[in-house]
Amino acid sequence: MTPILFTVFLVAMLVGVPVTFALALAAMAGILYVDLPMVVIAQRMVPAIFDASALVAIPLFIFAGNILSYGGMGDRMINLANILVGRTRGGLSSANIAASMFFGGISGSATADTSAIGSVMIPAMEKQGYDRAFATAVTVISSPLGTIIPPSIVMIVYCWVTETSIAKIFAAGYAPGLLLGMTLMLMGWIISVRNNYPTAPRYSWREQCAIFVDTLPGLLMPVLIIGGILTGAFTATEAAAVAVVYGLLVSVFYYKELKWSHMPDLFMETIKLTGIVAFLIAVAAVFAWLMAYDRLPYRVAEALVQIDPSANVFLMFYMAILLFLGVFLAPTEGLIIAVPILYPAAMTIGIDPLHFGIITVVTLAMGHVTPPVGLCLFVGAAVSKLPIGQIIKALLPFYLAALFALLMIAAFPIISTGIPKLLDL
Amino acid sequence: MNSENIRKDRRPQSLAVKVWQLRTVIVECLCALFLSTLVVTLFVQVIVRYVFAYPLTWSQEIVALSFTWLCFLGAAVAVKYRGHIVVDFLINLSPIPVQKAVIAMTGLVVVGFAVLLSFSGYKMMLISHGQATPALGLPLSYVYASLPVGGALIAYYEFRHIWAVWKGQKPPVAFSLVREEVPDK
Repeated sequence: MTPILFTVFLVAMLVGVPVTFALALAAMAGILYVDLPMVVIAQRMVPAIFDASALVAIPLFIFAGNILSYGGMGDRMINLANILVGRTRGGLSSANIAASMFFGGISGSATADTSAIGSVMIPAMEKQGYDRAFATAVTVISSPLGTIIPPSIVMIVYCWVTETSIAKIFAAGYAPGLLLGMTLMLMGWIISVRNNYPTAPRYSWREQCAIFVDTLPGLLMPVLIIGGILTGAFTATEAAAVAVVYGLLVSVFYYKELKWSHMPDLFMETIKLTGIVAFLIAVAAVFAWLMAYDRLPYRVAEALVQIDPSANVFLMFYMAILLFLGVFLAPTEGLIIAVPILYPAAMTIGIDPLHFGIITVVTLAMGHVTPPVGLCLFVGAAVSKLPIGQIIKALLPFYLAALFALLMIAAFPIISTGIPKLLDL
Repeated sequence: MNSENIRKDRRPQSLAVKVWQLRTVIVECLCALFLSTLVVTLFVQVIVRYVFAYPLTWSQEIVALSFTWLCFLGAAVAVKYRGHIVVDFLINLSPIPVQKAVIAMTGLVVVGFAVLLSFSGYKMMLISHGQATPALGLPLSYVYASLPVGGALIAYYEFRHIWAVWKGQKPPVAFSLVREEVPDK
């Protein structure tokens, strides 16, 4: 049945059936092939959503991120990033990356992140004399940071597939996110020195304090979320609900930028993205069940035991597959197809589940920006109205730097597992 | 008199008129209601546990029910606003008439699956009839009902889109993240 599942999925996807429905069509074909009753579709889909209390965190983190981005948090994050890293050569490029990291700390998705930061940063950088393609490249390449730095929707889905603890993988996400961010900033600095890009204007001490105080309530949000989850004060789902309420309070009463007129858009964006992600998960539950019915994950694991590759060789292949998937698919989609098949194999080889999870998330997020067809490139091209070729040229050094960071993360498991071990989770 | 004329008259709108105008976005309103329920219930659950040191047993079921409905109605809303992700570089390479045909074909796949989803969900509704959740005694058929409703809405919105593209009222664009999302009116 496995060849049928994947052939139908690939063909349907390439002729332009939406990815979720291509997956559904493949599942339907599989069900027909082994002659199961169609009612198993409902039997698998509804409980996948109804019984998975951890998945409820997904709409809530999307909601919280949207609230803060409508509440003017994007501008404030950029200001803060400016006073922290803006005084270096090419300060705005570093600030762009740093702001993406802060913003990744409150929102769960890369697209919310990119649009919030990019719409402000690209024009601002161009005004200061940066090349438009360079500004776009920096914005595009920093979008995976939003996926990697917790809270992360992709991580929640990984935990749902593999039954890993959400608290652990959130704790594991910070160091790799920081490493990737630093590598990108370094590359931005090198290019800026060579092109003699300006530094950001100097702020007086008083202005710096004002900016910091202004940003503080927003910065407290990740502290509240992660602190609450790690200390066990609340579950990830409850933390997400608390984040929504806190975000609403801060945006409405403290920043006073979130208005009633924003509410329809705010709700619509959240509902739409939830519908896309949650429905995909429900369909994937049927698909994954069929793969398990066919014993595919076990057969892959058995085959790998025969070959007996070292952990590093296995991970290299795994990352190559994920990069390829990530080019066409959103991180959640790629994860939902690859991880159920390869997770048991990775465990037999003796890879740490957290390390494996972080590699999965980082690689899939990177696939999104992989030239020449990564999805984020087209978003960047649409925002900046530049031809895709120019963006790719400016993006290439950054992409290589990110690839280097990814290899570091893969080669040294301690980067991912260090913090959870330290916190004794 | 349609809602457009009422707006031009600048007559003060009665509540009934406003409510009537909401009919085109009724599914969206329901989703917003479920989303709000999620937030409020979970927040109350945290507050009650810490302030009154009393763990709620029923809140999880409310949350799970709302999330299930939000998922399947949200999927329909995403279809309405062309939100689902498509790999469209092959379509974009082909000439317009081919694109139209492809939209119709892929759209019919979506409609077909949605109809199947509805029937499958309806069957599960009948099978699970009489079973109830442990804390609230909520009939499981209320949970499974989200699938036939969501599936029917997906089929309806998708069909409306195919029709509009076929009639030439809308450009033959597939689902995409990048493009402007204009709802079918």
